Amino acid sequence: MRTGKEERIFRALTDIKDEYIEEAAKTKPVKRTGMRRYMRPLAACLAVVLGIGGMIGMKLWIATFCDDPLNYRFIEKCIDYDIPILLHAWRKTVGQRACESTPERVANIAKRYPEGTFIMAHIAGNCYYGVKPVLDCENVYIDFCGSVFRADDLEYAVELVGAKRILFGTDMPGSYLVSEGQVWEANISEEEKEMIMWKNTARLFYKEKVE
Amino acid sequence: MEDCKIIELYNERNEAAIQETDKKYGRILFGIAFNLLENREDSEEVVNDTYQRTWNAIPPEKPKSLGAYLGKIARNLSINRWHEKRTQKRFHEAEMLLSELTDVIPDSATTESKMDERELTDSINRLLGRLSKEDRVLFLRRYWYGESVKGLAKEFDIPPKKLASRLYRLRQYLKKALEEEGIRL
Repeated sequence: MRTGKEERIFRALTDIKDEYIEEAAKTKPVKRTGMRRYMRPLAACLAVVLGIGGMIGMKLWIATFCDDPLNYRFIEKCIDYDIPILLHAWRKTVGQRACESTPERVANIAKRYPEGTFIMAHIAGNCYYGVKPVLDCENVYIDFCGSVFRADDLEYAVELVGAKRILFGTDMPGSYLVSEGQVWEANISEEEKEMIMWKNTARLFYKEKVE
Repeated sequence: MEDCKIIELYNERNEAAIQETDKKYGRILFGIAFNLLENREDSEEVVNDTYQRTWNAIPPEKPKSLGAYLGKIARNLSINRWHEKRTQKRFHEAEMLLSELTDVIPDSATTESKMDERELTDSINRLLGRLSKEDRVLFLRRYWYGESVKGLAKEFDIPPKKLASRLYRLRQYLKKALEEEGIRL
């Protein structure tokens, strides 16, 4: 049974020696949030520059907005190497994360670097908002990984930008079957399905000549 | 930024003091509050109130350790807030901490004199000083910072049950030592 005495101990603990508090604080793992903004793109860029693991592309998630000037030099390096840049993009009604790019930001960076090749991930979460901002950015491909919300996402995107700019993707575990089903069930031609499933990817990442 | 530079900013009444404090200690203060209150909004308010108290207190106060000074304010404010709200909500983590601290209470049959909080703190300080550094750190991380046994076990690479037993032994040690010092609550 609670007597209030434990609370006296709890409160008395508050004023213990500073040195003990500091000693314990020093053992806490350091979380370098400030550095992460720089280190993630830097690490990606270094991997590109050094050819680590046979990298064929670079991904930018939410460490910075995709059109943040911090990313310019890395994007330029990818352009030098002629490799595509995958940009996380999502437009949320609530819960937009700090530095989470929207399709408008994808369009910004794509227009700044028309010689770059960009992939906007997830159809930006909502195809009705996601596709229109990048409609006239011919250097932006669209993948629909993890965008498992509507049956007609794909048909809508194909109608607006054409199958040649759409890429198949799976994202998180569990969404693979839905993503694949979205292609096979879509009311588009077999040729368009082939382009989405592999031809566009082969052309973009492996520089294959695909008929 | 060095603590002494931050304190200088407080002394100059420069509002950058709060920004620098937040940059350096915001996360740790939020952790102290959140471990007790388990609520993001309440914890953010505790952190903001901590900054306000500090702004009002320095000057004239001159903390030797800014981190510990801020932590104590945040911990006190969190306990107060927990008090205010515990009738509305069950605070699982705080209740758990308190129930574990029941083990530390000396048996009244063996005690001689009732002491105030300051004296109790002095005794606890003395007893903590006798522990090994690792035991002291574990005790503080659990009962001062309010971190979970599971999280600490993972960080220190100790099986959770083993860590729980170790913390139990530490509580028993404190209880016995407080009794030997003749402490009554």
